[in-house]
Amino acid sequence: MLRYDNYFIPKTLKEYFELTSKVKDCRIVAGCTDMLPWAREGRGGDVFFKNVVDVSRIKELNVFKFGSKKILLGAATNYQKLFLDKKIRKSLKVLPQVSVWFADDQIRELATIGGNIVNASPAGDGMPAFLTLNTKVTVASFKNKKIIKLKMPLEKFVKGRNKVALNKNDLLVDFEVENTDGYGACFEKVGHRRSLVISTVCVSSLVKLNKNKFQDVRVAVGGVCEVPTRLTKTENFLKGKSIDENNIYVASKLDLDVIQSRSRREYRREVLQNFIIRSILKSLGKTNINETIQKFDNKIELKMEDAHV
Amino acid sequence: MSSMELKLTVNGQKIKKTTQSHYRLLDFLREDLDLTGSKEGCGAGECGTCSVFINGKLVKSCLVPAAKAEGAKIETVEGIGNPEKMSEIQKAFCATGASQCGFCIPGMVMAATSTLRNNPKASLEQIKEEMGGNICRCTGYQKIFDAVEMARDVINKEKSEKVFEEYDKPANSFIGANVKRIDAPSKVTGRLKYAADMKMPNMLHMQVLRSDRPHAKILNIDLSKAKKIEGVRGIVTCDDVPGIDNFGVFIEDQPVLAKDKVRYVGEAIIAVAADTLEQAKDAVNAIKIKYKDLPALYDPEEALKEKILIHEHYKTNLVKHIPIRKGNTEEAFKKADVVIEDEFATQPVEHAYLEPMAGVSYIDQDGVLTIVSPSQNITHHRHMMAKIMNLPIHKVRFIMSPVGGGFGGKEDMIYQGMLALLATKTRQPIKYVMTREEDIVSTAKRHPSRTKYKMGLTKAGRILAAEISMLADGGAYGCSTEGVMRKAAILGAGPYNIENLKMDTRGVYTNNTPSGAFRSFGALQTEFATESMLDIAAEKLNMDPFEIRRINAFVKGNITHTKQELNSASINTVLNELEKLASWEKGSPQSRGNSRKDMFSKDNRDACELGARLKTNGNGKRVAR
Repeated sequence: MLRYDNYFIPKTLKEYFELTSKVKDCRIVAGCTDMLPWAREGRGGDVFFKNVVDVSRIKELNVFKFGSKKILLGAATNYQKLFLDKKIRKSLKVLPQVSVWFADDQIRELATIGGNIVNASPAGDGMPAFLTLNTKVTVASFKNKKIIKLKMPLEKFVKGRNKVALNKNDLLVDFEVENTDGYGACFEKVGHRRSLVISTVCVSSLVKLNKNKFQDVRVAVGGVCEVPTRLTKTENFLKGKSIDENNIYVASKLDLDVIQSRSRREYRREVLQNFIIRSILKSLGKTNINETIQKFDNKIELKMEDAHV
Repeated sequence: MSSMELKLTVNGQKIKKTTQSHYRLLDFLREDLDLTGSKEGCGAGECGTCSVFINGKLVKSCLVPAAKAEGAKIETVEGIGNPEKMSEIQKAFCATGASQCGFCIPGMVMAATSTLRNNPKASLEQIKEEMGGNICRCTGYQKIFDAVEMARDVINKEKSEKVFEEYDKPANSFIGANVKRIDAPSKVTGRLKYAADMKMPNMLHMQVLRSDRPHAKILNIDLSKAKKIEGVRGIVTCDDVPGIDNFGVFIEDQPVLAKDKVRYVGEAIIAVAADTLEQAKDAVNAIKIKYKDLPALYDPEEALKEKILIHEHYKTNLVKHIPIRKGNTEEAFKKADVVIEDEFATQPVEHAYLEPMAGVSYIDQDGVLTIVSPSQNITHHRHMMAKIMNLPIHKVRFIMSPVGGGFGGKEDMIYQGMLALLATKTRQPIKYVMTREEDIVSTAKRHPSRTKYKMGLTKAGRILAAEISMLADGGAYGCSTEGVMRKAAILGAGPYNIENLKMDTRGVYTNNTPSGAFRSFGALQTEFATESMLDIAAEKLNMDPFEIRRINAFVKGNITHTKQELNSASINTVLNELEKLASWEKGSPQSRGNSRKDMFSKDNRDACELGARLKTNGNGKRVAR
């Protein structure tokens, strides 16, 4: 059972920092969709916090600025918005795909992108997708009564399992992502029940074409290592190469050593490789070359674990 | 305990109320506003029994701190409709019989409402997608989807409201007829009170200290700190049992609270009643127990070696052995053309009823100890309770609250004894609601089993003899093990006439979670082995799996291995009907699949599932060809 004495809901960054510099022992929360299930038997048990600070209504954490090159998403943006927003559906195609795999409609209404990243779970679904969007995050801190903002790449922000570059009371404010309109995108995930599944393996990919060649390829994986990561060997191999099933097959093998999980390694290896192939093929599909996929499908033997239940 | 003031709108009513700071929206609705239509099935956002609208968005209220709802507009199932004036969705849930136990139904109604509000013309696939956050244990979902589709069509004026009243008018028999469920309106509107929804004046809340050891001697219990906690009104241990502290459905081997030693992780040791749930929890957390760990038994095969005894005074770990003999198997095997031997194992299974265990107890105005709980076996529980409490039977009353799903899991008595002890000790009403975690850890499961099987058949597929030996893990206490072993032995050989049969079922004690009653009550484990053996035999003998079953099926007049003469036998009727419904293609198992000539022809590419070929009809439904 989760217990606390006070629940604060600041409305601005200024309010937040004034509060947290005054009130001691603050536990920061956003969507609470991890906190409440955690504070139960077998996990956190009976938990007590003196003060809980809910940052989900801070104005700066709810921004949505749309640009042709960069898009700014507040850290309190919830996953249901990523799923439903028409602009996001067009320009950040991978995000609605993550969302459909991210819990269910009701939890997506609460769960925030910031909370998901700050948790820094190796199995978090948000991170691989945001990695492929070349995300830069803004961290705000409070020094000498001034708010200082620091922008850094997402890779630098997440330092390890459950570890992020936040000092006490620092706040993750927003995500600057690349507008990837014109890219094909795909998010693949395997687990048990679709609506509430923890990733065993998940892969996010973005592909841009130039005639019959790969102009840009971005692939990131989660669930199999301490921190979700981009698959640079796979990406670099494909960039500039022609769209050819053999190239994709060769590329799919290059980064498989990224798997650190101790359990079910062989299974994860097989799934990861298949996911890399499938997500690139599906990304191609999003750029309207279904015939190519058809051709690949027939030639490459895909042993895929289908999680759709 | 700190409090806060909350201002919000609930079902159109403006509310201003002081509540506990740490309450979740679900607690605020249930405890402070008595809106108990929103249920708590898991408390972790997994099940959806607590779904409510916040500012028009459906969320799981167990994941929302109440403070987050400040200033919000909340809509609960009580705001959707009431039994006199139901919404279309609620009427449709009644019409299709979608509410069975009813515990998931308020949440399902909310999810369906959200789905059709967001998308009034939602397709079946969209309905399934949007309702994916809500789970149901009874229906298999079909009746729920039927209801949502029916409501959608009425809302869109594609169907008349008359569909809500299209019940059968059975003349002679209700069997097979679609009749009106009289309890449906109370369930689809969230009005029905389950045990956890009940409140009484001066009611105390019970919490339980459970063992975290599989097998250990209890050396010392220190209650000093717990007794000092504010609001604590009563603490009970095994020493408080006034009568015979041994109960059980078949074997009376279980104490209300662990006596001298614990036998499984999750076993109740001490129960505390306090003014609030939080105080009771604090008291439980303040109790210190000193244990001495004992070597533990986890494997039923090991249990048979009797090196470690779970119940020392029985001098054996065998709970029950049911041996049944018919004919002479050894002689019959000699005559068999084929003899097949194999082993089968099944795992423990949790019932996963959506309503966690809950109960209320009180001593009524006539001094009658009264227990209200979703028990599936109240008469037996009443008799057991009279012995435990040393009361004449007329001083014990059991009231069965609506069962939010049982599946056998609520048949064994589990927590009612503790409720009785505390009501007796404090003379105040006591309420206990298990968390999902507590329920899974402490309640009985389906018996895990291992079955050794030997079957001898003629070339023509006639079973001449079978030897079946099942070993089941009964866990720490007897519970329903004896009955489960009997049923396994009676039904395990299936509906087949086997002249020579040697059947043994054994249930043993281990330090695992107790095994108890669960749908089919033991028949599943052994019948699973029997049916698997018949499939293997069909393959070996190159026979059609239906045919081999028909050859051996019971017919009227047969005498079973338990000497029951059958006045009727329906297995052949069932097989014929099944074969027809499945569009079964005759032949041995080997003749199916890739070797079939028609498999991948142009108009015939649909999947072959377990021998039945399916096609997609005009409405997108998968039907048998």
